[in-house]
Amino acid sequence: MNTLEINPMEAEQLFLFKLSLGFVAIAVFFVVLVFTKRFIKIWRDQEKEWFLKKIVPLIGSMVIVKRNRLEWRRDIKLLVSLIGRNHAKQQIAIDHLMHLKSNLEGESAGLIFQLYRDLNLVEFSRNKLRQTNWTKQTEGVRELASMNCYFVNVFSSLLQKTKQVTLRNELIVAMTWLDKKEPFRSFRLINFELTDWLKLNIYDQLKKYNRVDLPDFSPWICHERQEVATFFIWLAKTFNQTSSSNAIAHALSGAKTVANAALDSLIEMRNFSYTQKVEAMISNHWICPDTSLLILCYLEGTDKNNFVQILIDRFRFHPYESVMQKADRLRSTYFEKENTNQILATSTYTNALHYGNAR
Amino acid sequence: METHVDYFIHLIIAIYGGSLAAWYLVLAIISLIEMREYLKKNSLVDYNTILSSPSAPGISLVAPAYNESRTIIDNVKSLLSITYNNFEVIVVNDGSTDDSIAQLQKIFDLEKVNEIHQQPLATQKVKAIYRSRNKAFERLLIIDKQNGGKADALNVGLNFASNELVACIDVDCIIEPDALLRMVKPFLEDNLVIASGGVVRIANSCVVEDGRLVKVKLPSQLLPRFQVLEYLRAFLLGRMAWSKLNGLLLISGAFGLFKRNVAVQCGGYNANTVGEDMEFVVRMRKYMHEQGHPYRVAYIPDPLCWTEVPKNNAQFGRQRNRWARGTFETLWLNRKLFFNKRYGLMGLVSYPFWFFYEWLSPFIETGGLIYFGAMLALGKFNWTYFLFLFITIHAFVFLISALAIFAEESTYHKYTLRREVLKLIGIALLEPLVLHPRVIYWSIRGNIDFWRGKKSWGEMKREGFATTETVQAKLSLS
Amino acid sequence: MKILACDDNAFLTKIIQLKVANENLGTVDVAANGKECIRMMDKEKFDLLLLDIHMPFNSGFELLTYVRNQLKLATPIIVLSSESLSTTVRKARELGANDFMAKPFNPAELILRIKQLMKKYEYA
Repeated sequence: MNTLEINPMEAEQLFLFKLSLGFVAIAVFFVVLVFTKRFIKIWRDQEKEWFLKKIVPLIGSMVIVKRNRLEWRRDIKLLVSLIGRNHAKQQIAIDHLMHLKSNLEGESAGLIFQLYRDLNLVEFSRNKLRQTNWTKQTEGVRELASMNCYFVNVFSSLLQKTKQVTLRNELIVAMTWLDKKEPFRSFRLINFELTDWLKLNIYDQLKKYNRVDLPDFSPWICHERQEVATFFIWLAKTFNQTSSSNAIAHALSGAKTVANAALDSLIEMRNFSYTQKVEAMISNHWICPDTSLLILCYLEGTDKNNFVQILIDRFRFHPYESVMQKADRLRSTYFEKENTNQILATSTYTNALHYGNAR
Repeated sequence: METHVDYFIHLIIAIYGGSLAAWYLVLAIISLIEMREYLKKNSLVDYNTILSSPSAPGISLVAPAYNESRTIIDNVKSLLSITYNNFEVIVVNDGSTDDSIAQLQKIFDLEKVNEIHQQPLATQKVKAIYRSRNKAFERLLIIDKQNGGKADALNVGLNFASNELVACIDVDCIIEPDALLRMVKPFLEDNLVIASGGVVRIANSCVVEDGRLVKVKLPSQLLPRFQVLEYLRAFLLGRMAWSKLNGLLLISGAFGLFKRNVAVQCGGYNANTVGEDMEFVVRMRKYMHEQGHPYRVAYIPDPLCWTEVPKNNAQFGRQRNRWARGTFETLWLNRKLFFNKRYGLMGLVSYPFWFFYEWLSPFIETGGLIYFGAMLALGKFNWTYFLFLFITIHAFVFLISALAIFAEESTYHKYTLRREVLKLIGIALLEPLVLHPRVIYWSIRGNIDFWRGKKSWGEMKREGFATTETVQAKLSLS
Repeated sequence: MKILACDDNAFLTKIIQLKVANENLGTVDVAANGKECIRMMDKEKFDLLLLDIHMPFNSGFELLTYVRNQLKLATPIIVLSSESLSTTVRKARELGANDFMAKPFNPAELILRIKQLMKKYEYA
């Protein structure tokens, strides 16, 4: 080997050496980080436990056992002195109050809100909304919402500004409960993806309302976005809000998915006063298996004879194949019902129904 | 001339090693970022909203069991007490030769029922269906079938599942009570999600009471302890990144949640492979690509499922042998994915990654050793080069392990004692020397076994899926 | 009167203890999970049970059947759960719960219902 060829080899080894040094250095850095993290965590946990031990019994008895104003003021003072201006302690106190709130209702819940205000924690949570970090903002929204504190303008402007999905969802859900004037303000203000997760959380908030205070769903049933419309139709059905029946009936003439949802909820709500509208749907939607079945269900609820007549009329215009299919579905849905027998007796399409029978 | 060969070999080592290291680092960094993001997003989530919602999707838990009579009662009880409102537990007894069914019958007061279910997937014959007379266990459905292997049992479960989502689990795993609530969330957030996978953690030496995890401890034995590190690396640093890239190919057989209709349409599990869990996910993805449907495979980094891993060398060897066979078979069965644009990122990145860095790496590593051995025999061994290379690789592996320990520490913090972390770090230093050579050896043996004959599959079936061998968790970063 | 409160939420059981003590209704023993609850019921006799549904080891439903079918006790039972679906409520009733309260709950109302049940079963 001559020198020219040895050099690159040595360079390679030198490079490897440097590389391994680099790796080791980074690895050691992370190991040190692991230990510092652990140290800090253990210390924090201890602090938290120690602090909780002090405040939990006091807060518990304040929420449960009646106090006169003087005693209340005395205990608040004591708590304020325990918490001080320490952010970590304030956070622990809020977390504990929120935890209690998630399990308690009625007078005790009122006392929890009172505590939250008297300990000046409202300001602490509001400050979080002013930060740029979206996780902090979300926390702030959550805290204010669970303590029933609402600031229309702050929430609305945050909702319109943010691009962070988690924060946006938090705001939408919070406003559903907090905004007694216009619970669905967020639907008006912005356009957002209505995921199942969001629906579930909105529903959860609506559950907290008394039946009489429940917001009116009808304006939203006519919403141009189909998923919004179907969601509100579903809500009307689930909460059995009869006052939105008209809006639902109106939705029958809408797009297919909306119409289906509307039909389904009318059936579920046992509201059979829109026969004409439903019959009018037949000309547009009869081809679609889901819709035609829903139509049949609905009409069956109204008037038996009418139902059979429509069925026979309709079958006349259909190709043999689809008649068979429909008969099949009818068999499975109305099995052993007198109507089916009636159809069997009167229908000219005995073949088709035989097919249904054979299944 | 010889120096040219030398150069060539150095070049291969440099390119292969360099690219591998770069990939691992990139994946680790993506994972760390993604995990932070996940925790931020979910720290405030109140999973109770799912619990009390009438619109939450129903879940069927499918747990195949083969000769598990020792633990089956505890495990089924713990499955039944999972926190979710709309779910059923389907235990599929895969022709056990022990008294599993008798025990279940006694404890849960079972009676035979005649139910007609549509069975879209072809499976071994179902012998009987049982339900409990006790209303407290109305969620339980027990199916007794002829032996056909784990995949076949899972297919029976898919057939009988009446809910839109199906969770496939190992009956001997310990599932955390809130597991379903967490796993179902990705499906609620995104309609495109067809499957979500969870982390598998190691239960050896942990305190378990009645099928519930009470206290987490680092395994006391060395072999499981090594595997803790492997699992941490694979689940915390690898899969999180792949799921972010939407290139996740493997959901551990121990715990995965799937959309039933997609799972059935793509043909269910393949009963003729030992790596059925990976093959299943790959085929599901392939199916979605071929149908032209957009989709996503999600991943939940929360520690939701705990399992016992092999304690002795023989068991460990068999497990790794199986994994190697499973990997190779999956890659082979789906070879048309290789650098195939049609399958998007899966074809262009995930599959080649598995091919080059999972399947090929034991061969490359052995090749390297053979090369150095030959040089030694020829008296041309370059000590300094070997040493530097060795140190570099070792340092890199340690770095990745340290990152994994860091990821665990800054997220879930399950190993709470200070000495446990120290032990883990010690393990990280030892692992490349002690465990890795064994893994390589078993992988190569697995590949050889695969080539030797397909006859051994039949035997595999009868061997069933003894405890501790069921989690296929490829343990590099994938 | 002796009450057994079974819930894995320690703060909550503490609140119940406080409230019951405040109303001078009797003592509240706490079981943090289903297993502990069974152990305590086997050992002692209680006048009233408060059960959560989702608990470690044994669910509230299981405990209900255990009390009614195995121990064959008529002890009044109130189920307290955050899962307030109508199906859950029905199931709890079917399995022998005397009353169901959804979380979040009003402690004052809990006391009221306990008193009602007491009157009905003529304890005190």
